[in-house]
Amino acid sequence: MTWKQLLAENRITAEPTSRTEIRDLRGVVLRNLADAQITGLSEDGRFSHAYDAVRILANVVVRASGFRVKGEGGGHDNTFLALKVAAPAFEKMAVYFDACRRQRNNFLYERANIVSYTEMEELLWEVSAFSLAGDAWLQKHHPELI
Amino acid sequence: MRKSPIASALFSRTQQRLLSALLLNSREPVYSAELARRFAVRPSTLQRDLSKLSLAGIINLSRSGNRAYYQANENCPVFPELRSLVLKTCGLVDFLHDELALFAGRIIVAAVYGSVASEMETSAGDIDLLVIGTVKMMDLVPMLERATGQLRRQVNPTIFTPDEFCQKARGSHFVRSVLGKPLQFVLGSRRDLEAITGRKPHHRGTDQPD
Repeated sequence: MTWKQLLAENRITAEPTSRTEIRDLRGVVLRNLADAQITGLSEDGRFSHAYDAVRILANVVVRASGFRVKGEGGGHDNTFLALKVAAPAFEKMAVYFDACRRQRNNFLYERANIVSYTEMEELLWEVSAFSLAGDAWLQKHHPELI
Repeated sequence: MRKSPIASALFSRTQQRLLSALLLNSREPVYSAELARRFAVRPSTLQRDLSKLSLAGIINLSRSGNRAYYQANENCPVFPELRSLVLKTCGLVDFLHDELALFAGRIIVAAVYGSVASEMETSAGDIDLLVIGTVKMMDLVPMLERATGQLRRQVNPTIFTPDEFCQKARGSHFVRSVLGKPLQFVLGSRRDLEAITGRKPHHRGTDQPD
C-alpha cells in the first residue's frame, strides 16, 4: 500500500496537523495508558484502554505524516493500514495491533470475556514499546510537532 | 482433515484428501502407500482417484522400482487456482498446522472453533482459533499475514496459558461454550483439553478428525 492508494480508496484524506493536535492526542494516549494499568478492572476493560492508546498513538503517526484516517466507526482498520505506510518499521506491530482490533470487536459485539490475562498483559507490554518507538519516530521525522 | 461444504460439493472425500496432501506440499513426491497410511485406508482405495488426477494432468506419476510416487503438477494450467481452492476449503487445518508446528513446544492445544468448526461458515468469515500454551500473539503475526495472503481470510487467535484456561473452564461462558461445541484440532486433541481442565467437558456434536 502507498499513500496514493489509500487516498484513491478513500481510506484517508490529506490534512495537515498542528503541534497542538499532536499534543492533545498524546495526552489522550497517556490517559488511556494510565487507565489500562488499573488492576481492579477486568481483562476486557484493561485491554480496551490499552487498545485505545495504541490506536491513538498510531493516529499520531498518521496525523504527523499529514493525513487523516476516514472510515466507518473511526476507521480503526484504516489507521493500522496507514501506520504501515507512514513507518514501515512499525509493520509487524501494525499487523499485531490489527489482530487486537479484531479481538476488541469480538468482545464488544460478539463474545463477552474473550480476552485472556495473557493477551491483556502482552498488549500492555507492546503498547509501552510502541509508545517509546512512536516518540522516537516523531522526534526524528517531525521534531517541529513536539 | 476438516470437512468443508464447498469442497464436499465439488470433490469426493478421497479426492479432497489427495488434493490437500499433494497440492499443499507440491514439492514432495509421495509414495502411494504413504498416502494410504496417512489416511488410514487401503492403497487400493486411492488408486482410482490417483489415476483420474494423473490422467487429467493435475498430478504426476513417477516410478522407482516397484513404487509409484505422486506429486502435484505445478505446470498444470489450473494448478494455482486449484491449490488456492483447496487451501481455502479443506486445506485450512493443514495450513494452520504447518504454521503452528513451529511453536509445537509452546502450544499444547490449538483448535478452530466457531462457525468454521461447526461447518456453518460463510465463505468470507473469520477463522476463530483457540490457542493454549505460552506462545504470544506477536509470535503469530507472520502466520496472520500469510493467512490473509493465502487464505484471503482473517485468523482471530485467542490465547490462554493452561492455568488460565483451566480456571476459566469453571466460570467463563466463552470458554465453556467453546468446550461444549465441535472443534477442529490443529495441534493437540480433546484429550489434551481434558487434561488441562481436569475434567471431561460435555460437548454437543462431533469434533472433526485431523
